[in-house]
Order: sequence, then C-alpha cells, then structure tokens
Amino acid sequence: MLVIEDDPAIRKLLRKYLEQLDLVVLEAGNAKAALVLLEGEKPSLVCLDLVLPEASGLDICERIRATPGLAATPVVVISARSMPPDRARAEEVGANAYLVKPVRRQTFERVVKELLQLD
Amino acid sequence: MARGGRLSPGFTARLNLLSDIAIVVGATIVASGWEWGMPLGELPAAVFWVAVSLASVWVIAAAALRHYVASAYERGLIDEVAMVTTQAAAALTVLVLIDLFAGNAPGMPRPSVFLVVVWCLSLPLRLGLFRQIAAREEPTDDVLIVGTGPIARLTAQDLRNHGRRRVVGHLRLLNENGKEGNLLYRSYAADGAECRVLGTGRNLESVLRTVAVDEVYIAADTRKHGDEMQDAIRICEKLGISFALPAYAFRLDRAQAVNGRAVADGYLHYQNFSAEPYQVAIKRLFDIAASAFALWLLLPIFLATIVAIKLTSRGPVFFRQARVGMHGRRFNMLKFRSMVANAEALKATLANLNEQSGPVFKMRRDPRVTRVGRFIRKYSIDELPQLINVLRGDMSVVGPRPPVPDEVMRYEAWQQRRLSARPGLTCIWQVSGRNQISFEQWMYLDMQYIDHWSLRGDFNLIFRTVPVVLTGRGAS
Repeated sequence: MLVIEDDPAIRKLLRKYLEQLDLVVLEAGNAKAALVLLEGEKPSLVCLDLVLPEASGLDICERIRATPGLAATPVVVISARSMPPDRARAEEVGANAYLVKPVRRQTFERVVKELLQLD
Repeated sequence: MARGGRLSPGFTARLNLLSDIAIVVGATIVASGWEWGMPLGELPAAVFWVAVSLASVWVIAAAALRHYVASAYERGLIDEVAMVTTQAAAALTVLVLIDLFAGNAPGMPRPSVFLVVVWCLSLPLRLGLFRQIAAREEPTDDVLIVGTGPIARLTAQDLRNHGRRRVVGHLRLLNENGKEGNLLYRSYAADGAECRVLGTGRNLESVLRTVAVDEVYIAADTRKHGDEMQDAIRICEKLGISFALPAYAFRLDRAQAVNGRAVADGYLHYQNFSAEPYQVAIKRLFDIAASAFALWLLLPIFLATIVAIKLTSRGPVFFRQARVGMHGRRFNMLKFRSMVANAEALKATLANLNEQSGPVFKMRRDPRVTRVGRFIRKYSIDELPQLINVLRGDMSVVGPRPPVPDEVMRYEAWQQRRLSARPGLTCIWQVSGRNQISFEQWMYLDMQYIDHWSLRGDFNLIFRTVPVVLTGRGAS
C-alpha cells in the first residue's frame, strides 16, 4: 500500500485503517517522494490526495497509468472536493475510486477491500 | 452513498395535518381554561364543538391554500409565515363570530390566547420540523441533464443523493459512446432508480417543449463538447429556461473560486430573468398581502356571485381550467363559471367563428355564456377567484396571462419564453387595448414585460389595470 498525502494526521489515520486490514503501508508526504517510491516499489494499491505541495495528485495518477509495471494498480483518490466535475476529472486520469474527506472508516475499508478483492 | 430511506410523498403532509389539528384543538382548550380558570375535566361540552369547528375551518383554509401539498414545503419563508397566519386568522374570525353569538356562555375560549398558542406552535413546527422532514421526501423539482458522460453521471448521482430535484432524463451528445451509457445505466441501477435517455442533444428543444423542466444541467466536458454545449445554451436562452454549466471547465489543481458559495455544487447557474432574489421576495410578499386582503374585502361579492350562479344555472360554481404556469408546469386556474356546464365540448363546433388570430379562441357574442356570466364577465368578476391562485403561488398579480396547454403546443420557440415568468392576473396587454390586438403583438408585449421587469413597473401596471376593470372598458 502506498499512501500519498501531505497532511500527517490523515496519513496516520489511513495507515491505521490499512494496518488493521493486515496490509503493509508506505507513506509519502509529497509528490517527489511518491514518485521515488513508485520507481522501486510496486504497491498493490495507492491512496492519493489531490492537493500536494509541489504537484497535483492527478499528475501522479496519470504517471502511474502511463508506467508499464504500474498501469493496473488500483488508485483511490481522497479529496476534500466533492463536486461532479472534480470527480469526473479524477475518473478521466484513471482513478478507480473517489472518496470525499472526511472519509468514514467503513467506506474506506469497503472500497479498499473491493479493489484488492479481499474476503 | 445514497441517502437511505426516502420518505414517500405525502408523509410529511399527513403528519403536519394531524399535528396542526391537535394544536388547534389544544389551543381552544387552553384558551378556554385560561378565560374561565377551569381544569380540563370541568370544561363544558360546548368547548369541544368549538374546537371541532375551528379545526374544520383550519382544514378548509389549508385546502384552499394547499398548505399540505408536497410542493408547499418548498415555499419561501415569507410564504410559510403568510399561509400559517392566514389560516390562523380564518380560524380566529370564526372564533370571534362564535363568541359574538354565544354571548358570555361559560367555557368560550379567549380569542387572543387561541391565536397566540396556534401561531406560536404551528409556525415553528412547520419551519423547524416539517420542512426538514419534507426534505427527505421524493423530490418535486425537475431537471434535465444534457450529456451521458462522466460529469453527467456523477451530477445525476449527486442530485439523487442530496438534491430536492428529480432528473427527468438525459440527452446524449455526439461521441458519447455505449460504454459511457452503460456506466450511466449502472449508476442509476445501483441506487434503484430508472435511467432515461430521451434522445440526443439535437432533441433538446422538442424535449423542453413537451416536458416541464425547471433547470437544464449542461453536464459535459467543455473541451470535448464545446459546440454542442453552446447550442444547448442557445436553446435554453431562446425558451427562457434556467440552465447550469460546470463551474470548472478546466482542470484546476489548487485554485478555488473566489465566491465559493456561488459554485457550491460545482455548477454556475444561469437564469433568463434579470430579477434579484430580494425583488422576487418583495413581489411575492406583495402578492400574498394584496390577494389575502382583496379576498377578505371582496367576500360579499364572492358570496353574492356564488348564490347568483347557483340559482340561475346548473353545475359547479367554479370553473377549473388547466393552464400552463411557470416552467411549463400545469395548474388549475379558478374562475366563476360564466358559461354553461358543457362549454368546452361546444367549443369545437364554434371554432370557425373565432375572432382572435393565433392559437387563442375569443369570440364577442359567444352563445355559451349564461346571463349571470355576461354580467360578471363585463365587470371581470369571473376572474376574481384567481386571487386564490395568487395566494397559493400558482400566479402573481402582475405577469403574462397563463396560456391553456393547447396554445402552448402551438407556440413558436421564442414565444415559449413567456413561461419563464410566474403568470399573472394582469400584464401590459390588459391595460393597452385588451382584445383589440393581434396575437403576435400580445406576445411581444409579454416579452417586453419579462425582459424589462421591475417592481416599479409592476405597480404601474396595477394602477393602470384598476380603471380598465372598473369601467369594464373593452372587456367582452
């Protein structure tokens, strides 16, 4: 699992949620760190914040889709913006799910399990 | 994340009605106990009958004002206050009358206490509770979505989950393929809703002319469907229908709209009517006050007319005619019946005698008019029940006359724009020569009214209507 999110509090929360599903979690607080991690690792799921300090989450998602080994990785976008045009944009760059902050634990777990085909 | 458990339409109304009856009965008992200082058990039985009659008056007034129909919960705050006050006033009037006749019989409730209790319980409950419950009922506002792609699908989902608006259907744009259509159908099915694709973007005009739509969401990617979206805007403007465009035509990673509230749902909303919201509120406030006052003032004329109609002709007192109101939604316009009961059926046999150009039927010596009918028409008394339509909110005092459905079917596209304003009792046409005007000129006058609307203009028209009605000039 890779959590890309600039807010440490949310990062910590998502880590907790994911670890309770017995998943191994990597964190990246900015886009650069995320891209470095993505070069070496092949996470089975990426949680992605859209507003990062030096880049947009949408760019990262596009990059993931364009990278041969990563193209099929499920991407969960987590954003404060909830409006249809924003969601449509995320879908366009290939995000698999779109969750609006504040994310409820049940919703998050349901989506992650669905994408990883757990249970 | 569909909002669970939509309530069936009418649930709030029934709850609200029961609570109001309880309030009226309770207020009667409290007002009686207050006046006579008696505990509940010792009150005379007459109080019970007073309570029943007051509750009946309340229910009748509420029925006339359609206080409990589903759409009433969408009314503005001033409407709610006015409706509850009007009903309380109606009950109060009856209570005062009972008081007058019953003299000082023991147990008679004190009117002022009754009024205060009813008003202070019914209104806050309506505003604070029942409106919130009603918000969970099935929606009453209709929207059409142009587009079947991702933005359209997500917008429809958003409206289903949060809005008070029903999506009547979608129109497909060019290059929107089957895959997108499938996703759209699946998203509707996931919420247990039915997805209707009514045609393509080219059908927008014909769809808008046949389906009542309050707003059109032009929900597509501006970069891909720019030309078609522009066409859709043009049609909405021509027909005078409000529309919404995605507030984010481009990808914004960080930037926020300065006035965030204006684009809170991701859309910029446009209307073809230049009125500010506060002006619309003042107009409505005036409508309520003026029609309620006029109804009260004209009560003797109403009673006399009802008696005259009932005595001279068989059939109902009121003539309910289906008219097309704002945004093409139909309502029943009330008139005193001035024709024989089967007049609509006789209209076809008289069609060749029509004296008005265009799709309207007008004829000077119409044989279907009764004797009383001729008199009340001459002085426009037959039109007075429309004050009830005004009070209900179907109509306004000033506005284009509401057309009959047949007429609207034969409208040219630009004439359809008349329906963007709330119809009224009087408009420019009524004060400028009445029937001696061609249909086309009449339409132009109505467009003038809509495009250059102002509060002051409304008052001018009212003052100029009064002498026309009083002298019966030109009316036939």
